[in-house]
Amino acid sequence: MQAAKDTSDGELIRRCLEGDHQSFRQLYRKYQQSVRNILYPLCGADLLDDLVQEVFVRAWKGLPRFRGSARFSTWLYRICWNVAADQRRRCARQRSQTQNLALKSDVAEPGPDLMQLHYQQALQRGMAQLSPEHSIVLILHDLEDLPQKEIAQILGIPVGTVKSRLFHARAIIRQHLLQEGITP
Amino acid sequence: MSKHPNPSADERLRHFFRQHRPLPPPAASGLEEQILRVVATHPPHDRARRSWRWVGFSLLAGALLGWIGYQRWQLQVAAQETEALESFLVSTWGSLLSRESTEAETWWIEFDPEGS
Repeated sequence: MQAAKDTSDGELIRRCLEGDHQSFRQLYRKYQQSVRNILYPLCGADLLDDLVQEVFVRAWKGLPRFRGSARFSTWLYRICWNVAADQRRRCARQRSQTQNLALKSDVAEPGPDLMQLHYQQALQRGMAQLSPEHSIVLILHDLEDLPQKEIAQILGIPVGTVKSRLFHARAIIRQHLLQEGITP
Repeated sequence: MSKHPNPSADERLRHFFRQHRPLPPPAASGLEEQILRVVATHPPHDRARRSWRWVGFSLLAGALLGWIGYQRWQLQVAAQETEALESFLVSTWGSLLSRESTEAETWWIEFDPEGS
């Protein structure tokens, strides 16, 4: 079992290309949480499972085109961003509605104490003020802990633009939190 | 204006994000199996593309073989026609020559200047 876990992405991809679905299952298990973490702040909870499925099906279909020049995760997160962008275009008119629903569903969830809930909601409201281009940089850098160079590769933008977007995204969130009386 | 006026403030904000990040709801219980089922019914694109390549290659090879066959057939027909034409010319020319030579040899027999 441990050996299966330690199998490299390259080896799993090679097996996938030979039609081994179980290797793709391993890739799914390895990356599904990160994919969910990225898609959720961008698209909300309503269609999250559908979008995750779309990401992995696109990845499966596109595996033969994966050249291995970048890391598999970089390539997968790029698909994530494309799927999220497509979804946002589809739901452009219902955007605010979706975000409200997402917030409501979170409020209903049982879990942490009230302070934690307050901070989470404040952060979600702050992120809702960001453009998708700024949100994704913040998510990938500050939440998924990816280096700026990799984020630049994922989004197909210069590293300088990543830095600039990160700076502005943080400034907007910081401002929002201050308005809500929170000093991080 | 510096882009990072206070790195520790950024670090604090980052820490805050991680502590209070919006957590996605857990995946539906059957999602993994559903994705694997979909994947099982969809071959990776390249394989499909490869099969289309084979179809294209077969069509091209068929067309090429057809064209070569047609050319060879045309050459054969042309050779047959040439042969037939040659033999026709030979026979026609031969009979023409033989008639002319007969005439040349016998004109004086038929010619009678005195009318006898």
